[in-house]
Parts: sequence; C-alpha cells; structure tokens
Amino acid sequence: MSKHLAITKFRPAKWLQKAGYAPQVFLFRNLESGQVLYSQFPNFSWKQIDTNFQRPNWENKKPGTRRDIWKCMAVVDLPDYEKSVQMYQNLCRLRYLRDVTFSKQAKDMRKKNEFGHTWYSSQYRPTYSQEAVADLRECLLKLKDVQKNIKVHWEDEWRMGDKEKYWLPKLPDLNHTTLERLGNVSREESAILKELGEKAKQEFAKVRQQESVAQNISL
Amino acid sequence: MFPANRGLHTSAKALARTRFTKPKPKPPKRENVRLPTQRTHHNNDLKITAPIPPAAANLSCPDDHPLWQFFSEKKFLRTPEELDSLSRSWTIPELRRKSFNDLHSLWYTCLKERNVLARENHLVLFNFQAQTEAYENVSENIRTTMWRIRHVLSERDWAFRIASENFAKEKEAFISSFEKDFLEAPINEDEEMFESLQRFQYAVYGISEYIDENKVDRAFVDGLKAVATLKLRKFALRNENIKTFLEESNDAIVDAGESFLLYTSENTESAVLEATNAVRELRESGSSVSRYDELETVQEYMNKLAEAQMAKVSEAEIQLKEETAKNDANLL
Amino acid sequence: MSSYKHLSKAGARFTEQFLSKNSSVAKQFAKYEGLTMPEFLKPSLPRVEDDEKFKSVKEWKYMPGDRVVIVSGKLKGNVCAITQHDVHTNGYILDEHGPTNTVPVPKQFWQQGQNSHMVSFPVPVSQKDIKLVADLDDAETPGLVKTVAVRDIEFKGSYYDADYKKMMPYRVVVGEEKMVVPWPKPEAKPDGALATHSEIARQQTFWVESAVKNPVPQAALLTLRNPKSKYRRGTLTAKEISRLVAPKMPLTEEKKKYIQQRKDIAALPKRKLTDEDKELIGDKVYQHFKKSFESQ
Repeated sequence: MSKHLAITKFRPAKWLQKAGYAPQVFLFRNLESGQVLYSQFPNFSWKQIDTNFQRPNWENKKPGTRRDIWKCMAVVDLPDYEKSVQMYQNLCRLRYLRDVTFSKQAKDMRKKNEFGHTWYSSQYRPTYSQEAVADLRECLLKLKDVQKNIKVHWEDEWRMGDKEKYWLPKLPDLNHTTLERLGNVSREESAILKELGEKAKQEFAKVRQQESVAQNISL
Repeated sequence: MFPANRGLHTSAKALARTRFTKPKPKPPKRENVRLPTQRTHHNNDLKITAPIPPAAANLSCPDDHPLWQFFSEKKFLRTPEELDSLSRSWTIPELRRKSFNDLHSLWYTCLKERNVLARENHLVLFNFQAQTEAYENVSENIRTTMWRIRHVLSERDWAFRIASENFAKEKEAFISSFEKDFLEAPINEDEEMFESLQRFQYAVYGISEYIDENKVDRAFVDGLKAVATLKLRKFALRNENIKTFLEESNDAIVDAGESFLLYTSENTESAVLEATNAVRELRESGSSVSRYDELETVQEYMNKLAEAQMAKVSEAEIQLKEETAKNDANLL
Repeated sequence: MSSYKHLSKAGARFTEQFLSKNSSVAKQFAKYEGLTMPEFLKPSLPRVEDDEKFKSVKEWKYMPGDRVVIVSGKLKGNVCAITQHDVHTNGYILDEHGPTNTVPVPKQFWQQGQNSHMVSFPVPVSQKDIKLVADLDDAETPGLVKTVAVRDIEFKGSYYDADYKKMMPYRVVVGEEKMVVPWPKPEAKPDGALATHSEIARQQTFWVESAVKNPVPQAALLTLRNPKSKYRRGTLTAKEISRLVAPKMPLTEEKKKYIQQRKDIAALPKRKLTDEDKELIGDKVYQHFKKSFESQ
C-alpha cells in the first residue's frame, strides 16, 4: 500500500501488484444491518457499495460508507494476484446471482419471521453475513487445488460456521486464523489490515523467490 | 400508401459504387501484441448455497473468564426457588465487630452477588416478562448490608476523630501512668512489659511493629524519642553505665539518630549498653541529626531497615530452598 | 418497556405518586381491572399497598402450620390448616378444607397433567374471617387437653425461637396471660447459599488499637460519605431557596387598590369613647326612655 488512491474502479492483478497491494480479498460487515461488502482493498468506497448492492429494497437497503459501522469480517490471503482478482469477481458474481438472477431461490433459503419476511430485529438481518460466508465457501471451493496456500482470517471463529459440517469435509487443508482482537476497534482496524497485507506480501515474495530458486536448480 | 419499391433518400448513395471494390489486404501479424490487462473472469458454474449460520461450538470459554463473575455457578439463570430468600442482612452490631479488611471483602462479595442478581433480573424482566420480585428482594437485602457497612465505617471514623480529640487532653496523664507501671515492674515481668510497650507505642504514637505500615511524621519521631528515653530509664535502674549515660544526656534523648539507634536495639541490658556506647561514639565524632532534617533522615533509616530485613528474609528463603534441595537429593 | 427502573431509583418518587392509591390513574386502573382481567387472574381479596402489607409476625398473628376455624361465609365452622401467607393481599391460604374457586383457565396456562379447563384454586382468606384453634389444658379435667377456638390473641414478651431462627413474641390468649399458644414449627429448611456461619459472623476482628491511626484508611473515606453533601453543608444555594420559596403571585389592579385601602384604614387613628361621648349616649337613652314612660 505504497500509494493511497481513492477507489474508483475495478483493478486488475498487475495494477494491484504495482500499487503495492497484497493478493487479498476483504469482506466488510455492516454492524447495523448485517450486510456484507466485498473489496479488493483493505478499505472501500461508494464504488464497492454500488457494485455489491445492485437491487436495493426495503429489506436490503443500500448501506452508507460510515466507517465506524463497517467492520472487517474476513480477509482471504491468496497465492497470487490473478486468483485474488478472480475471487473478487466470483464473490461479486455470487452477490449478483443472489440479488438479481436467483433472488427468489435466495429468499427461499433465508430464515423468515412469522409474516414471511426475512428475519430481522430492528435494522439487523443476520442472514446477509451468513450468506456471505456461504458465498466465500463457494468461491474457495473453486480454488480447491491451491487450498493449502490460502489463508482465511476470520473476525471470529464463531463466524465461520460449523467447521465439521462446512469446512473440513471439502476444504480440509484450508488455513483458518482469527484476526487479532486486541485493539481491533474501528480506529485501529486499518493498522491491523495493513500489517496483514505486509505479511501477505512478504509471503508472496518468499514463494516467488523459492520458485525462482527451484527453476535455477532444474536448469 | 407508399409503393414497395421506393427507397430512402440515402439508398442511392448507399448502393452507389465506391472507388475501391476489392477489400483491403489484412494487416500483417504484429509481433509484440500487448495482452489485455484484465484476463480473468468469474466462473460460470457458480451456485448460490444456503447461508452458513455461525457456530458457537467453535468457541471455547475459559473457566476463569472474568465475565463468569456475573453468573452464579455458571448458571444462565437461577429460578426464584434457587435464590437465597431465607437469609437476612448483616445487622449493624454484627458489622461493628469486623475489621476494615473483613468489611471491605464483604462489600465486594455483596457487590458481585448484586451484579449477578441485576443480570438475572434484567433477563427475567425483558426477555421472559415474568415476575422479578424474588430477585429484587434478595438484592434489596444485600443492599441493606452494603449501606450498613458504609454506616459502620463512617461511624468508626467519627468515633476515632472524637476519641483522638478527647485523648489529647488525657494524653499526659496516660503516658505518666504507663511510665510508672513500666519502670516499677520487676525484672521477671520484662517480657510482658516490653509487649505492653509495643502496644503503648502503637496506641499513643502510632509506631507499628511492622516496618512497612509506618508513616514517618512528627508524631512518629517524637514517639521514637520518648520510647528510646523510656527504654534507657528502664535499664538505668539496673546498670550504672546506662545511668551515667542518661545523666549525660539530661534524662532525655533529643536526637532522632540516637533515638533510632536505641529504639532498634534489642530489649536486653547488654544490647542497650552496646547501643549507648555506639551513641557515645556518635557524639564524640560530632554527628547529629538536625531537627529540620529529622523526618527525611528517619525515613532513610526506615528504608534501610526494611531493605536489611528483606535481605534477611530472602537469605533465609534461599537457605530453606537449599536445605529442601539437599533433603530431596538425599531422598533420591 | 425498556426502562432501567429496576436498576436505578431515579424518578421513582414520581412513579410512586403517579400510581399511589389516591391518584386518578390508579383509580381509573382499578375501575377497569375488574372488568378486563380474566377470571382466573382476579384476586379474590383486594391487593394491598406496600405500606399496608403485613411484615412482622405480630401483624400476621397466624403462621403457616397453624390450625384455624373459619367464622364467616359458606364454609363457616370448617377447621383448616394455614398452608401459606398471601403477601399481596394480606390473606391466608388454607388447605383443602378451605374455600376454593373453580375457574376456566386458557390452554396456554395449563399445567402438566391437566386435562380440563376448569381448575380449582384456593382462595385467600382475610384475618377477620378466621380464628385460631388451639389445644389448651382443660381446667375442669386436669391432664387432658381441650381443643378450643381462641377469640383473639395478644403478644407478651419475647424469646429466641431456634426453629424460626429469630426473636419471636409469646402468643397468649387475650386476657389470659398464662395460656400460651405456641407457634407452629416451620418446616426445616437448609441455610441459604448466602448465609454466613454464626460463629464466623460473631467472631470479633476489630479492636481499637491506636489513638493516632485511623482504623479506616484515608482513601476509603471518600467512598463512605460525600464531604460536599448538601445535608452536611449547612447552607442553602440560591437554587434550593428558589425551590423552597413559593413564587410571588402577580396582583390585579383591583386587588392592589383593595390592599392599599385596607392599609389606609389600618393606619387611621383608633377612635376612643370619651366621657363626653358616653354622657351624650346616656343622655339620649335617658331621653328616649323618659319619653316612652311619659306616653304610657
């Protein structure tokens, strides 16, 4: 993150690498409504909200950019930039499928209240973050072959759902960790994410170096 | 209607023959073509799946988690029957017997229990919409104990203030009567008398036998001097040397350093004699503590004394460890 | 109802006044309570205010376990045992020989094993409707006991009751100081979880040791009492005075005039009857009588 640019558009892999980002995908959760935002960057702007909430309605209102009520729900470290970009595309695509193409099926799978609406308490609908976890899992299943090199940082172990049921059978070698909880308040969150990014970048560089060494040996 | 064969006004131009009838030749294949910057695309076989609910089973709570203090025996909610509705509050006479530390710990025990009850009360009131009378009654009983603790301590403070005011008037008489008893006691009662001296010095001058409890102030230093003088007077009756020393110093020790030396000496004739000799040496060398530096100097002495004692204790501990290690080795 | 009234007493006095027995809200509520409350929730005795609730054994007179005879109503003459006190109505709940009320209960309130809508509830009985039944020594045939209904009881002296674990008064037949009716033995209950063992409670750990050192640490004093308390201060602030003093009423012009007039009248010198006046009056009266006698 050597450059601090306002996020205005989708960024390809090369750009991300050049701009100093790590091969990561970020999920942010709205504390008020439970909605989840996908981002290529450790922060977000109106751009992401526009792409992720294409069909707002009374149950799924378009959220605002108040930074204090958005909290990082998960960070996924991927082996390379191409995969991180594709993962982001997949997540956005799944969101589109849920909101637009298969909105009816998506609604069927949600928990309802007595009036047949998506269950809520005040503004909060827990189903959105649960769907985001399901979508993340679906995307990770597409990267099954490289699961050893993928690391998911959860805000809380609780959030990932039943490990035995959802994660271990199909993605046994996927790495899960939790984000540091000490001092993870909205003001300090960016520092924690930055540190994670630095670590991921170092890891990426290390793997590249190992690969190059291996190539040299084979020659 | 328009006839079918009519054309638009641009038709003629469009149909007109241009100069080049042959298509242009294809451009040659370029060598260094830049690939598109964005080549990835989302998968086309993505499926939406059922939401994954969070699982509490992933979490484990340590037994010593501080928030457990808001639960009674790790129970989510006690039923009204499980509450202790039979016990009564502590009464004021009962509390008057208890030391500050006891009352302090009782206060916190009460506070913790009230926290548990407040949590349960809140739950019952808002989540179950049930009667909370039982919880409130127990909480009220505990609250009564708590205000009574405060009452007793406040009362104790007032009592102390009033008593110390009154004691100022009777202090002289009390000290002289004690001195009389102390000096007149026969030699076989020495042990008891020195124990009572210890109580006396705590009562009148606030000099505690525990070094770290003491606060060096004017009363403390005056106490040191008085106790040192008293000690000399006690042994002057038995030893001529001490008697002459006492006469030399006009029947009273006025120097803080000297009094400290005499005060810390053991309560035996020989030890006091030794101390007097040391004091004599001090006087000969001309070192004395100015009245203006007394408090600081005595504080320094006290710190040194405390350090020495700590060193002694740690030494003893090390010895004990060595011994136990030896014993263990022997056993092995 | 998301209030924190259960945690804090802030504003409690207002609520208390608002819902006190004589407030219009309470009267309105009481009026509709009887109409709207389902039969199975209706108390048969009126609820009592908190300050009217029985608290001591002297007020209750009869404890659970006592035998009493019903002296009024349909079940007059029945001897029953008291099973428990109903603290909300100052009533006594009696065993199966006492009055019951059979009411329909909606299904969501059914107990386990219930198979009918109609349920019998024991009805609390008030103190004036029962008299104590006691076994007393028969004066005519010594050695035998006689079961009697006691007209009334009174309390004389007190003693420590190990069963109740507190001081209890002696209960005697009114006017007969020697006829002591013992309290019933309550069922033994284990000590509560919060109870302290009596030996530990009695153990003395505080001794007055010094006239110089305060037994209470300096740091604790601020938490014991507020040194700036308004009750300790001894003076009233302007705000407090303004609260205590009633505001001056604005007066109308007429009222002001009237008050001025009263003041003027009060300021006038008081008239006194002089001897000349008295003489004049006496003369007039004399003339009048004289005239009337002459005419006769």
